[in-house]
Amino acid sequence: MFALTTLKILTAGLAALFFQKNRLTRSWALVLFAGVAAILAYDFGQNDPFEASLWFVHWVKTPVLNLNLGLKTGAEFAPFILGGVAVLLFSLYYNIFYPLERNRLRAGGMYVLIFVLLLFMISAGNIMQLFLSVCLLDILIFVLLPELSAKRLFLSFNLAADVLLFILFSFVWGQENSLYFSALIKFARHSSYPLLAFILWAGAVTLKCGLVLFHNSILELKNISFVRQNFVAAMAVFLVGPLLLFKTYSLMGLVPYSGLVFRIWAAGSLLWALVGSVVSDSLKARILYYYMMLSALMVVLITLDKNEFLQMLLPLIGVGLLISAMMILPLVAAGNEPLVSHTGGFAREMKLSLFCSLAAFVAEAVLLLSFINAQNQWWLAAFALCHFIAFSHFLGQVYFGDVMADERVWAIVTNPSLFYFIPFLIFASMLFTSYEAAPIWFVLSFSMLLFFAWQCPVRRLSQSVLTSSVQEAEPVLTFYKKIFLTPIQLIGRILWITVDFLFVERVMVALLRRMIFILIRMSMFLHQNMRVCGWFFLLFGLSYAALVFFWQKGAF
Amino acid sequence: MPHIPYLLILILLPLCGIFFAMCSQDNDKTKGRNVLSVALLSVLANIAFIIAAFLNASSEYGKMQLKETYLWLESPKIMLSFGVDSFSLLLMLGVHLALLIGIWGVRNDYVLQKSRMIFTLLFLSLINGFLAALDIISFFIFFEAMLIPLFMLIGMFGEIKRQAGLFRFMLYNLCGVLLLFAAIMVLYHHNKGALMLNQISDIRMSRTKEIVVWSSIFLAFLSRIPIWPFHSWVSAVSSGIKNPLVFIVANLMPLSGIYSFIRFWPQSMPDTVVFVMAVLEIISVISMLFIALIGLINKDIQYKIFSFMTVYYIFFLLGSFLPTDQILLNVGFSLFAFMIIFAAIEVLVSFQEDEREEKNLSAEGILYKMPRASAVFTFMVFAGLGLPLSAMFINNFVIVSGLLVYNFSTAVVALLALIFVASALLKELFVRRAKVETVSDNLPEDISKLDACFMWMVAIVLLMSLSDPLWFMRG
Repeated sequence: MFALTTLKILTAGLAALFFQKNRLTRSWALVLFAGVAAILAYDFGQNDPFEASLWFVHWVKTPVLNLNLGLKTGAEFAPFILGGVAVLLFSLYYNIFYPLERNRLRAGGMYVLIFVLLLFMISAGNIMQLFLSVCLLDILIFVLLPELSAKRLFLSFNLAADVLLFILFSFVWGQENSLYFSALIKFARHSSYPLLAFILWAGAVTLKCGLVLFHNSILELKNISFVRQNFVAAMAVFLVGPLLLFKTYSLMGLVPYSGLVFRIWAAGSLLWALVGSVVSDSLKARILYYYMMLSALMVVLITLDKNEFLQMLLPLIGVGLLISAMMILPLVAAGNEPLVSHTGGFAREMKLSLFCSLAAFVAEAVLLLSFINAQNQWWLAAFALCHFIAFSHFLGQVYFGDVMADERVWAIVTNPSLFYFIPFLIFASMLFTSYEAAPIWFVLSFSMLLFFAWQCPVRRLSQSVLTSSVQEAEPVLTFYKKIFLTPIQLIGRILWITVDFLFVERVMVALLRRMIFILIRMSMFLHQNMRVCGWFFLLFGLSYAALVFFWQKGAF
Repeated sequence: MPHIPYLLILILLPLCGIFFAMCSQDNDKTKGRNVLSVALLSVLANIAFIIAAFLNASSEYGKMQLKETYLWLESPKIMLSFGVDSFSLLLMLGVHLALLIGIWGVRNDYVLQKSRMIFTLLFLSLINGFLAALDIISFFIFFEAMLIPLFMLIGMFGEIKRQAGLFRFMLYNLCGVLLLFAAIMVLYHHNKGALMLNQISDIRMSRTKEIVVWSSIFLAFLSRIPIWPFHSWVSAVSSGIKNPLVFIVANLMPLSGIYSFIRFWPQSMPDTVVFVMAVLEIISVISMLFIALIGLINKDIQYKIFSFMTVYYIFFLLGSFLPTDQILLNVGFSLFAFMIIFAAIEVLVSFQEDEREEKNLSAEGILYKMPRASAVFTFMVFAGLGLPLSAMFINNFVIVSGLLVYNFSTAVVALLALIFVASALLKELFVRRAKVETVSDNLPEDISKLDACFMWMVAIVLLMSLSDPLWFMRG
């Protein structure tokens, strides 16, 4: 069933991609959404949709390598699959009516193909299939992104992750002579270079998850339309990165402090995302910083208890999509004005949006409360606090703050159409009905958020939205440029000048030329009509004869 | 079923093509179309014969098949022996496809088309002979003879501005030929006759002779690869070549060096010359890193492609020296895809550079107004980076694994060099795809639909090689 479902979805995606329609694009996007939703609802509604499905092909068969590709999964990975379904349907839905979207059918087709690749990644029975799907995902996302700077940074960081995975898996295969996941367990125990292997693995995972130092891979998505941005970020942050960590979890045994490293990294990411989401002037960047917080939380949850993480994955994805959908409302309402500094006082005109945003936050709070336990309480609390501060600032600046919008924007500000609230209704009702909390928590989180939104706890920091130097600063990219790129380029230039030019051209070639010149002069001298030249030729002939004589005697 | 001399046909068919090319009309009216058709047909016919040869041989590496022997001289008795295994056939196919792409790339260049195609076909015939040679005499003949069409093509169509660089390039290659000639003569004299390539390792000589012979052979083969510190002599020529076909031919020469090492170099070296291997490894890693670093900072796209190719060639050389024969087929698979990729990249770059020169445009953003070229160029660059779009993906993985297991430090340097050349290529891609608002009316013209179709067909061949370039032999 699973393989058949994948095939049906793939067909739908390819059809959308290749049968471009320039007219009635919204209707075609609706058809695609309805078709995919119907297939998924029907097939995944059957009994055991993820069990006992097997399809495989021989991929590589050489004397040294024998690999199969397969589509087989189990109930264990159901949260990842359903999470992917949620992200896909959310994107296909917004793809129908989001105003700035172009080539809706093509974009929809790409979303579907990327989802199919995600299924392929989930089904990976060996590390090569996992690696293959990760690389193919990067290529497809590159094609999906419409803007060059977003493409460049996304691909650069993700290719770096791919290179690290490539080296790591080469290590694994070279040492264990197996590409199955069981080899990772042995490798973690007996690796010749455990620290190096861990650095490769941790680097790849954190790059794919978009944690701090590597967050620019998703942050640059702020320049593209919301639907694509949200799809790519959600795929990377909610699914690909955590899935990679989940599937290669056995490598946690490489070094005893691996969990600690991930947690420190996650803590740094939370902090960075908090500052970023308060300081950033771009609404879309704030959504991406929120995703970064979620990403950090997911990494921590996996390292704490991967089975419990599976239970939390789907609700977390749901709440993530819900919050992002609520955060985009002011942008749509203000005629796609992306800057927070050009908003303010929207509460007067957008009461329904404000209410839904508050409710979304409450839903998130309820969810976190339902999953809290002794092991994860500090991390959930830290995440909740960071998001609480960030979201209250967002609400404070956009809905309650001073009116900074110009007359054009202010004239059109109104609640977006009801289509934007349908995902809210679906996700929020699912969350509220599935997870129960005492009413006091509803009231408490609702009123606290309202109060903080009104007061803005880190107001001084948030005033940076008006500072252009802060908005234009790219500290991490500048760091990379100064620490890595410039020295490498400098070394290259020095080598080029000293070796290619000075050593080879000026020394070696000049020496050869001079030697040839001397030889010619010597030859000219020896061919002069002088007695000494005759003696020289006589001596030369005798030496040659002696050489040949001793050679034949076997002296050499 | 009658025995078909596939290998002889593969050598003679391009020569027949030369004959027809010479007879064809080449004037202002035909604009080189006749001679181009003859060249294309010859290459396509050869490709068909290579596939037929594949179907008549097994895919096993190292098992020489389709053996043919021809008497050349009665006294002294010299026989020319030919034979292939899947590795050499794969390389032949790769070379043919690379040259096919190159010929396609110059099809609109009418100036002296006849001479260009004649020398290209001659090169094709000689490289086929080289890849099929089984004994040292035929090996040497084809090894040396390949330089003739190469020098003619570079001299006539390379548009090299620095004559001194060209002179050094030729001297560098000729020195290699002379060294190999000396070594082969000593071997011939020692054995009292010609011997097969696989018998060389059984020869026992005195210590001095062994050192002289093996060092000469080593230097001769090395002279085909742009190795440090002589790389600048080759790079000066390679990066100066404007014609894509000539560039492809010139950059297929390192392949002959690698293939020579694989075929000629014995698996178990005599103890007296084991040091040569250490020297080779040191030179290889220095060259890789050095050329990759310069490629990263150099702004000339031709140099970037040259550095990309050289680093990969040395990487394949290191892979082929791993102490396991089985990995050689993976090296062959990767080389096959690599040749096609670099040929396609070179043809596309050449097209862009022509547009740039003609319309006085900057390289930055040139692809922005060329969507067809941009799409196919991106595909080729991605395939060149080793992403899962060609046989390089999985086979590079196998080679790197082998290097990591057998020689960790070499593998690390090789990986660094590969990362540098990949970064250089990727950077160039982004520069060329950048969005630039052009104010002038001089917009670059995109590649034609026919060109785009051809390039996408090449891309399909690469995609089909992703799992196994010999897919047509299975099942």
